[in-house]
Amino acid sequence: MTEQAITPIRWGILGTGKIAHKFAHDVTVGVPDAIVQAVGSRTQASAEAFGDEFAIPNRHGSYEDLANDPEVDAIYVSTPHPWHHDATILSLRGGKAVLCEKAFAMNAREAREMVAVAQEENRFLMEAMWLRFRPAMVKLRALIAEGAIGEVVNVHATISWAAAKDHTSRLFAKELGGGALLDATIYPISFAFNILGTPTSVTGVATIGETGVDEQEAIAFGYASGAVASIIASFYAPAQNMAIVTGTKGRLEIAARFWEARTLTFIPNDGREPEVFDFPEHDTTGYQYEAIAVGEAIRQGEIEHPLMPHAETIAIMETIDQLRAQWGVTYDADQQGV
Amino acid sequence: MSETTLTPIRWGILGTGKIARKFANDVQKAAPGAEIVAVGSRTQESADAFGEEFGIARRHGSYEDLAADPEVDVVYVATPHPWHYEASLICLNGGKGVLCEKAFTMNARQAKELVAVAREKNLFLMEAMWTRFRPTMVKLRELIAEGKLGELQYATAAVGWQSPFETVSRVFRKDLGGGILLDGTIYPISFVWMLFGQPSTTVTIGVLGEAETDEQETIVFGYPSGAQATVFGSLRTGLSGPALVTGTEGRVEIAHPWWEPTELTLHARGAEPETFSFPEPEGTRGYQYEAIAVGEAIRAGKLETDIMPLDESIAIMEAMDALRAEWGLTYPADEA
Repeated sequence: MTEQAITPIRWGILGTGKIAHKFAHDVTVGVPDAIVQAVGSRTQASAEAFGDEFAIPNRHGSYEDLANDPEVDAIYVSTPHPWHHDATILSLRGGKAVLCEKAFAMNAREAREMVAVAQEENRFLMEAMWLRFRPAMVKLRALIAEGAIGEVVNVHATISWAAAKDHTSRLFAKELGGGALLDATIYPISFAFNILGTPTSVTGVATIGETGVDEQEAIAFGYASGAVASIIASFYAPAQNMAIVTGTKGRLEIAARFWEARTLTFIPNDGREPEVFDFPEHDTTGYQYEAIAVGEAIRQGEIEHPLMPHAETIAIMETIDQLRAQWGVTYDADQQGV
Repeated sequence: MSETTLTPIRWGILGTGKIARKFANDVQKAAPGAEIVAVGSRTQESADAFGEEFGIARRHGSYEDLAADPEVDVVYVATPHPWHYEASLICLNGGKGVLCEKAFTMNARQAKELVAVAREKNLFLMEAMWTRFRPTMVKLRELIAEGKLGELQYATAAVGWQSPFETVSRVFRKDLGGGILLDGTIYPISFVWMLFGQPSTTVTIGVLGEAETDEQETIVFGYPSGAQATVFGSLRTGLSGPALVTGTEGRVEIAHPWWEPTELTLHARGAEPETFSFPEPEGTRGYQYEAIAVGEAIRAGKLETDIMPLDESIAIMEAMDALRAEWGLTYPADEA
C-alpha cells in the first residue's frame, strides 16, 4: 500500500488531559496516515488551548459537538474512567469509531453496554491498551508463538510507584474510580490476559486505604493449562515494574517500566547467552502503535481488533469486578444499570 | 575469635545423600571450629563409603547408633523430609542437638512435637534454612534494618526446577512427600516470612498433577502492615526470575537463583543502583554459614537461633498445612 492510496484517518480527541496530550503528539508525529482533526472538551477554552497546541482545526466546547462533527472518523476517549461509558456511547451514537482509554469502564456491565452499542451502530470500538501494540510486545508474542520459551507456565508483573499520599487526588478518590486497579493494575492484568487468556481462578489480597480504595494489591490467577500468574500493584513504593514470562524452555523479561516495553530479554535455558531486544522511542511515547492498528481495522471495516477484542475487554472487567467483590470495593457505577 | 580458642563442635551426619555430601564438604572446608566426627546411615556400607570419602572415623550402620555416639554434639539430619521427624526425634532422644534439613517436617504436628522434645530436653534444634545464613541475606537484613528500603511494601520470589513426570521419582510420590511445596516452595515462603513475619491473609492457587502432588503453585500473603508478598513454585520450569523486595524508599533485587545468592543490588530512591557481592569461595556451596551459626549458638548455650527460630519453623509448617488443605493435598504423615 502506498501512502497516496490511503485516506487519512481523522481523529477527534475527547478530553484534554495529560494522556490526551501524549496521544495527540504521537499521532501527529508518529502516524503517517492519520491527522488530529478535532478536539472536544467540556469547556470551549480548554478545547481552544489544546487546539492551539497541536494545530487542530475543529475545536468543540462539548463532547456532543465532537461526537457529531462530520469531519471526524474516530474518537479517542481520554477522560478519567468514570466518564468512559457515557463518552464512548455518545461518540458511537454520533457514528464515530472509538478508541477508549483503559481501564475501559468502571465495571463489566458498563463494558457490555458499550460493546452492545458498537455492535448496534456497526462502529469500531477498542480499549486503548497501547502496550499490546508496542513492538516489544509484538516480539514477545512472536517468540512465544514460535516456541522459544516452550509452554508458558508463569507470568509475573509488577506496577508500582510512590504516589503522593494526597487523599484529595483522583488516585485516591473513590467517586473518580480511584485506587490501583483501574489505573495501574489493569496493565499487569491485561498483560497476563494477553499471554495466558482468561483465568479459571482469580484471587487476591488488597490494602484498602482510608478513602476506601485499593492502594496496594497482590493477585493470583490460575489457568486451565495449569499455568499460574501473580501480579503486584502499589501506590506506596518506587518502581520495580518488571514483567516476567516463564516457560518450560526459557524466560522473557520486559525491563521496567514494562508497560512502556522498551527492552525485552530472552533467557533460554539451554545455555545460550541471553538475547536482548531494544525498542527505543525517539520523539514519541509509543501511543502511535495503537492508533495505527485502529486505522488499519477501520479501513478494513472491522468493529473490533483481534489484539484487543471486545470479549477480552469484557472478561478483564469481569475479573476486576471479581477482585473488587473479594475486597469489598464498590463504585457508584455498580449501583446503576443492573 | 581466633580458631585456637574454639572448642570444636563435633558434628554427626545422618543420611548420606547429595545434600549430606555438600554439607560435609562445606563444613570441612569452611567452618572453623567445626569437625565432622561421625556419620550414620541405614546401612553400614553406605556409612563406610561416606566415611571414606570425607575421612570420618566413626561410621554407624543405624541412626540409633549415631544418636548414641558420645563423641557427637550435634547431628545434621539430611534425609528426605518424610524421615526428618523420626530421625530428629531419635537424635534428640539420644541427647544430641539437631540441625534438620528443610522442609523441617511433613506437617505442623510433627514440627511441634520435635520442638517440644528439644525444649523439654534442653537441646539445640533448628531447621536448616541455609539461605538465611548466607552473607547476601545477612546484608539484605542489614539494609532493611538500616532503613535503606524504608517501610517494606511487597516482595516476590519464585523457585522451581524441571522434573519430567515419572511415577517412580520422589517428587511425584505423595508417600515420599513429593510435590514442589516441601522441596522448593519452602524457600520463597521462608524468604518472605523472614521479611514480613506471619501473614494475616493467605490466598493461593495450587496445581495438582497426575500423581496428586503439587506441580505448580502461586501464593499471595497479606500482612497486618498492609504489605503483600507473592510466591511461585514449580516443577515445570527451572527459570523463575529474581527475588524482589520493595519498600517505600528503595528496593533490592537478588538474581536467580536467589536462594543461593552471591550478590544483591540495592536500588535506593534517587540513587544509582549499588551491588553488594559476596562470592562463594572456591570449592564450597554455602552450607558452612548455617553450620557456623549453629556452632555459635551452641557455644553461647542457646537452644535455637534468632535467624531461624523454632516458633517460626512451626508457623511456616502451619502455613504449608493450610495451603495443602486448600489444594486438597494430604500426605500419609497427616493420618498419623
